[in-house]
Amino acid sequence: MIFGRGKFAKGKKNYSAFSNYLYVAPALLMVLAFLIAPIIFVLYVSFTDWDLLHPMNFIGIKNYIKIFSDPNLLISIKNTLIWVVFILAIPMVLGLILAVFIKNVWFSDQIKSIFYIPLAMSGAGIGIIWYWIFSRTGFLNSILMFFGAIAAPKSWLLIIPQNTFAMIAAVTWQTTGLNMILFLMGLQNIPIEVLEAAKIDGSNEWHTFTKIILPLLKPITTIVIILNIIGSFKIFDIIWVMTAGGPARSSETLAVSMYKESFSLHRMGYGSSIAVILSLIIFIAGIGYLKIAAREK
Amino acid sequence: MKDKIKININKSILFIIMLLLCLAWLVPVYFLILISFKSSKDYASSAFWAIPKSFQLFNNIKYVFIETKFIKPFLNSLFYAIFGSCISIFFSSLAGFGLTKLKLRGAFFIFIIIWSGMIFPIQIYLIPLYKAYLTLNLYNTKLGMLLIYIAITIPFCVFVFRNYFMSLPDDYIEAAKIDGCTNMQIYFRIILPNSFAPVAILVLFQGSYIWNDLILGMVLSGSNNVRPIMNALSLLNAVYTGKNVPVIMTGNLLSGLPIIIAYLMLQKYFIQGLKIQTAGE
Amino acid sequence: MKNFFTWLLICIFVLSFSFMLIGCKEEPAPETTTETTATEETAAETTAEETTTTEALTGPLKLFTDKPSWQTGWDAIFAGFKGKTGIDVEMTGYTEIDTYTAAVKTGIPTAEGPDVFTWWSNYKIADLAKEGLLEDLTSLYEPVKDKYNPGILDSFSYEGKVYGAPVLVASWLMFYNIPVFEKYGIKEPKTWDEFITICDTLKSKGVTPIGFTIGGGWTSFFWFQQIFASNYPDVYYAICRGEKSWNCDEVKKTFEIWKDMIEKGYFTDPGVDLGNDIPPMFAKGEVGMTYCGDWYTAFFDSVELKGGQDYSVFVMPSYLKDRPKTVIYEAGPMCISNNAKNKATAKAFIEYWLSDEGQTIWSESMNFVSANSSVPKDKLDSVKQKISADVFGDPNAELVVRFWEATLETITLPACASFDKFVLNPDSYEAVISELDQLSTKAWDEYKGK
Repeated sequence: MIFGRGKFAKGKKNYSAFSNYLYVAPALLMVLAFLIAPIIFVLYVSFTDWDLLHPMNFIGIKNYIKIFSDPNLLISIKNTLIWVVFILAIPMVLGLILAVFIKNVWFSDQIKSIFYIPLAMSGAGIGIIWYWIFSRTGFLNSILMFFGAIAAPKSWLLIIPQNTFAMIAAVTWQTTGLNMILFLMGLQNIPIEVLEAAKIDGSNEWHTFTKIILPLLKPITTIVIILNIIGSFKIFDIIWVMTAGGPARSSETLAVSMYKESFSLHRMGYGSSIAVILSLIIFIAGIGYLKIAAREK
Repeated sequence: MKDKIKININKSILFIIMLLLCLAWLVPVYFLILISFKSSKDYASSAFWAIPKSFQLFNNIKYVFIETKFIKPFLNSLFYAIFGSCISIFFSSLAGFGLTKLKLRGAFFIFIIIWSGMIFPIQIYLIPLYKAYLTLNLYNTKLGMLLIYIAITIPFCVFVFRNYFMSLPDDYIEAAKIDGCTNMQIYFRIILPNSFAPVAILVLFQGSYIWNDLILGMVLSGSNNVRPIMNALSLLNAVYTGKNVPVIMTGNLLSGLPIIIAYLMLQKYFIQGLKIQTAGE
Repeated sequence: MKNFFTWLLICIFVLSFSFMLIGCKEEPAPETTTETTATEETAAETTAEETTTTEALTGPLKLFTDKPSWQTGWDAIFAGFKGKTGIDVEMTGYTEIDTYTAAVKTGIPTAEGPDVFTWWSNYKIADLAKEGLLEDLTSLYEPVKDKYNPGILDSFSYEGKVYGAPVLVASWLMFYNIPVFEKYGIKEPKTWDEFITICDTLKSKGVTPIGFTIGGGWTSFFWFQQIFASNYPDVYYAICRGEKSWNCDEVKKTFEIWKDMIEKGYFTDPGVDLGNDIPPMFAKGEVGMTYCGDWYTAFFDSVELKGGQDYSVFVMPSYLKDRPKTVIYEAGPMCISNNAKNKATAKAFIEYWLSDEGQTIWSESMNFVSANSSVPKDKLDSVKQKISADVFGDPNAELVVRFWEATLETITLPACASFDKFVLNPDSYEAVISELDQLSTKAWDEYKGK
């Protein structure tokens, strides 16, 4: 049902009156005008050598060929995949576990407010705080030295691949609460009777979780997974503040490379082509997941 | 007996895990608050976990207010966040209703177009939007800012509403139709009253998204009368100035307050599930 | 779910088709905009001609800057300008430099962009001047010409015309920790050997001699620039202009000196932060010196260290003994857009800016050494007075342009990534040099292709 076209559309060709399109029109027009139209411009730019100053020259698919021969971009693609895997693995699963615990086990659900605090801060603000935590004079080094785990402070953000994991920790801190709240909303719709029935049946907790809670969470899980897939490909603020893709462009993701090429180096054409490729990957991943979700249903 | 002990052990392990997680989430916040109590000299010359030598929070707040001309951008952002998220949610819930319940031809195609607004990295919009805004005279206007904030939050809202409305049973709508309700009446009487939870969550998510936006505000607006709050705060951490860490942290604290307040106000709606499901059946 | 694939195909087909259609439509759009700007331009020109005769200035003046945090200075100079002409200046600040350059480059071809904006010298100003986007300011310099250092004006010039007025003139010097130096009886060094002795002394006392970082992605060029440009300025310029290969003995020697310093442990760990870590380390006496542009005093101010009491500066001696005193400098200009709506006002503003009155206001409110030599220095703090006397007041001092502006912008940032690699692994310097060489060749080919 997530992916289908609705019950009615499949049966009789009983489509509704044209006036009903007015319900969809405001949202559709806003998106077309402000989000899709600029992308057409970007798509065009990606086939040119525009540098903001000189007139655009059409150079065909040269930019796209360059992407796959640029060693920096290959590192970016690798880092982007690391990000996607870990963002799907850590903050999302943690969010689900927290939601289930808070709903079923915990004595007070006010505890959830704690995990919501990071959502009150901007990406840049969180970047500043976590930059400071991992900095040489910062929190982590001081704690580790206090417990004697390390002899001298380390520069976590300069070590590859620790810097990427440090930033993943920051994003985990930022987004776990968001995932948790969405899962809590989903859990709210599971009737208590179902869970109690399962208890009477004598199924253990793990069984209840995998066989009853997870399937019933399906609609909200789709939202959360899509949100995390898209979000993890697009992550920018925190990387930009914490390492700016450094040292030596080793922690760049595609979104950061795109920004660097188009804005720092003023290769608008090349940057646009990275953006197009990135968007295409997200589109395929998103649609692909929606398809899987629909098939499982 | 054995079972009980096992459960207790399980529970205490869970308790410890939860405690550690809570700590991990609270520690950065604790230091954020602690540092914003310090003076810059105190911060520079002593260990960061040291208790502040003097209470400097109000001085830091004063500094933030003077340095960033805080009030106007603050009110602007409040305006964008409240109106932007509400209008966007209204449009989106209409669209979600239309896409799921009104048997539109090509509903899925329309949905994919709207949804694809979510996938593009935001930085790529800057140059085309800036160019377009300059030509359309939307640059540096409140209307222009509001429009882009509405547009950029629509795709996610539509996605959530479409998913949510699909799980609403059709029986009630059919029943209402037999009673002679128009689509508009169905939307206002059945759909909206059952959507408190997603509406509250989306107000919070999209409101805080708009509130925390820096880059769109920087590119599409110029004067202090239009610019959002994050632009003003970024002055504290700009490239050519010294980094007064306590003031930066105070700025972060201040900018987070409205969202915390919104959260406290809205959170009781999060747990309002489907009225139909709980009341009926 | 066969439907899915048909739908996806249809989507892709329709989308790409509409992209093409609208893309074709989109194309003429820039032409129409240039047409309108052309008409507006002529309109602006006619009004400009009128205003020169009637002296009527239009306002408010739109000023874009990437340095909005210099609020006190801007406020003072805007107030001064308003007092003179009655016209307001509207400042738009950007705190993200990359976004700023993109916004300016997109804005100035139209009349909707800024009238006046801050920019960078040498290649960066030449890029804009070459495209005819800047207003020639040579005539505005006429009344004050001999008060400005010709070297600085050179860095704002393209084909003999001056396009910028100085906002910032900063020299790159060594900041040192006065309490630490006094404690170990150290004096400012005059030669490279004395400098090395100081480093060894500090090291033996457990103080890290030099604060240095590669954090932030752009700071790793500092020491390359200092060692290279102060010893081989001619080679430095030749390489920056793309006339010479990086693969030469001078570059190799530079990296060897730098490598030696890294290996002896003179530098802090490169992971410290220029803004967040080094000033507090200074305050705690953990670091003896740090090398930066003289705007770094603001960073010390932010942790309440006092110039002349807690820290002071000296000019870094050159490694080669026969070199004269050499100081790296950066000069930040302010330019007028050729398509400015309020061009007459913009000119009046730059005229005011260059005058003794304007420069005095700016210099005093910002504690900056003015580029205008007749501006009094007595209101500056002691460190800035010292810089003013040691660098700009010394006729024998040779000024060399900072690396960031001295070469193409498509070289500077990637070069910093290469320097990062060197700092993390000093033995790799030969690989780094050949990487820099390739980078430079590619960037110059691209540049000449335009």
